[in-house]
Amino acid sequence: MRRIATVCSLIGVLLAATPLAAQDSSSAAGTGSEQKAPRRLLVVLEKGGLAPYSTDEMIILRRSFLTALADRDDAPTAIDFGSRPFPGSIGDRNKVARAAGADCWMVLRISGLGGSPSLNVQSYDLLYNLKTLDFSASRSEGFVMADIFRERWDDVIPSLLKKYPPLVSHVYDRGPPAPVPLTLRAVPGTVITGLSSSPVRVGADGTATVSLPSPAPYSFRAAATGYLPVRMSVYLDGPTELRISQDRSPWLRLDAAFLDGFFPGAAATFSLPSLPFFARLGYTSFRAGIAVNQDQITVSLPLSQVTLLLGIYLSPEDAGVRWYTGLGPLLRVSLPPGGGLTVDALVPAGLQVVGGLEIPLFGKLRTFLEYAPTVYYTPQSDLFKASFGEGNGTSPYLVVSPKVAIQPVEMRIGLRMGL
Amino acid sequence: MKATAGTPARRAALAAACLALAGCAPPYLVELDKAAGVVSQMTLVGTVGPVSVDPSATNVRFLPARPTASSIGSVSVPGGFLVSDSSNLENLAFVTSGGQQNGSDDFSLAGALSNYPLYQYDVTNTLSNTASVVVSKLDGLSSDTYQQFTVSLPSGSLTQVGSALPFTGLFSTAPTTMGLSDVPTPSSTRDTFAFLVFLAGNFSIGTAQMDGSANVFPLSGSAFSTGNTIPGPTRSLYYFSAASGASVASYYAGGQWACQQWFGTGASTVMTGVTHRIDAVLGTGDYLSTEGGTLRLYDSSGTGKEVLSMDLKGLQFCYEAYVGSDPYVFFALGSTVRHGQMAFSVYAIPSSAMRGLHS
Repeated sequence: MRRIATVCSLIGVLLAATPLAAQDSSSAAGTGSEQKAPRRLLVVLEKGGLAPYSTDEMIILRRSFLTALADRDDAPTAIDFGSRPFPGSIGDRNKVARAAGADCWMVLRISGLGGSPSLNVQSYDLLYNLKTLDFSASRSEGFVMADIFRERWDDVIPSLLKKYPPLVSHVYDRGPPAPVPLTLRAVPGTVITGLSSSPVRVGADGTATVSLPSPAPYSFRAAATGYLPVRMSVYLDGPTELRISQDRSPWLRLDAAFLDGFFPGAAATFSLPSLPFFARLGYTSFRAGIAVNQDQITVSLPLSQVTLLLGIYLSPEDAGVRWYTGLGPLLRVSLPPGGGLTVDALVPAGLQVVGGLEIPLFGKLRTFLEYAPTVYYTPQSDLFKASFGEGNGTSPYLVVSPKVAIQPVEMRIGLRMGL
Repeated sequence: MKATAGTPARRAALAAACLALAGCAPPYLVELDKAAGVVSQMTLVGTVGPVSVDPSATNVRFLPARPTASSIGSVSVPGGFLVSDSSNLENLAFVTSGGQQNGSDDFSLAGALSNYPLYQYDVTNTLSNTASVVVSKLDGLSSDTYQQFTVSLPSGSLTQVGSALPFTGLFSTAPTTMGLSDVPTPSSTRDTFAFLVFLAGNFSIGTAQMDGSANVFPLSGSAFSTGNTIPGPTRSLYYFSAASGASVASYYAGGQWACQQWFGTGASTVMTGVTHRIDAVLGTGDYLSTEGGTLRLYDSSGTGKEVLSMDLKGLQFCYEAYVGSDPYVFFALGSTVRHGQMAFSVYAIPSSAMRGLHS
């Protein structure tokens, strides 16, 4: 409902912003020519850093900019924001711009020294929900206040004209928004959410059609079993057919990770596309690493750890942070010099509980952090305690009881690539 | 798609904090894993440590106090004797099961030869809750050079027991002690020692007994001349088999270890099959050698056929001792747990199962 209200608000802004175009719609339609209406740009000038301009000088500069903009053909209609403070976040700026009747905004920040001012421009298009400009320009000469009427702002205004050309007027002149069909082509069974109050399911023919008010921007999520969820935004302007590109969800993910920060390992995660469950086979080598509880910081042990984890994802695949948890056994194997491959006699096995999170980086690459407290089986408990060295069989890293030791803090961090 | 777990800097700081907490090496003892295949065939009877050991010390070995239990399942290790070499001294110390060192003594290594142990350590029966060890200097030159040390368990201090009585009472003049060793017997209030001495061009053998709780080393054996001669060497290891009554001398000659066996005053047999140092004659009659870290067993019949040869993977032979009425062979495994700290595990295996051991 909030999204629909936002859309309606935006449409209201558009209609309010173009009264002349709306009044002329009948004549425009009658001639059949492409009538265009200018965009409405909220203009904000700010003084940044140590810029040596007084309040009055900033007013002069702002008026200079507005005048120069108005002199250009096909320029957006400027809405002067004045000297008021402009919000910092894009969301708040968008609200202020809509309230001012604008469909786009621009902040021009003037900073630097008087003789070499620096201009930074940020601009946002409310219609397409896009940041359109974010650049800086430097000048080798300062503003000449006495001759400011000759200032053309050529390092800023052309970019604005390019980004905000006039719109075809039928966007405005066809009256109130009317429902139009939006046809979505996707994998059969795909569930579309965000377009209407109830989810829309793509039929066996691979299409789903939904009737939506147009013109208006929309965002939606498409999820299908076995495929990665897709989030899309579209500016609906009349009947539209849209194909949703869906990639298969990876059934295999490969990890490269460090256990406890310093011991390298790898893992393969097998998952079922239709279920949130997964099984992971992992391997960690203690052949080379760094540790803080040793006499020397580098550690090299002929020891490896093989883990099997059965887990479940608690968050959807496209979540910003994807949580999961699992449980599984571990086996410690060793290849000591002069000895054969053997199961470690001191700590042969254990049970690991894992709670982790994945954060997407790019593509199918993610980073992850796992908290993995472990219960170790210690059949030779006396020798196990003696292995801590002096300390009466206690270790700051382990909770020891007969036959069992618990390592409450164990972490794994790494990269995970879906294949 | 936007992550919601905070800024990258906050995420990195959180991860670094977690890793600092978790950055510990796993508990692991490489010596234990190296010997895992061997010790899995034995019974772990106790652990001692961690013990502080001079990192520069060499030839470190642990001899547990003799068990007094009547079954292997109830054997425990209340402590034992730690022997180590450093520079020109050999050090004997007693360590409790928790690893505390209570008293020590040093012995000069002057006159040591590379092929022979200069000092032999025989742990004798634990009597009246007192552990005991007899240290014999076997340089082939001296007479009566043995000392007894006792420790009141579980945490007494290593104490030398007076002066040992000499063998001279059995001979007209002081003989040169060539070899002596404890003869394992079922639990007893006395230990029997067998000795080989050299006097006036003849070799003599005999037995003696000691009471571990007494402050003396009483002799109650007899000595007699034997026609057997050991060529060349002035040093020899000597054992007496309670099972067969055989006398066994192991000595280094002609570039390798040799062995002779004889019974009473009969003629000796050169055991041509035994080419390694003998460290014990087991209750089964087999000869046991651990020279060079390799366990070898020789059948005492004939010329000494090798019936077992395997890498001990770092295990050290301690002694053969009776648990109840059954002889067991005890081994110790030293593991470095930290720089300058070791732990020792003690394992036992029935002497009758020794031939079945495998790597």
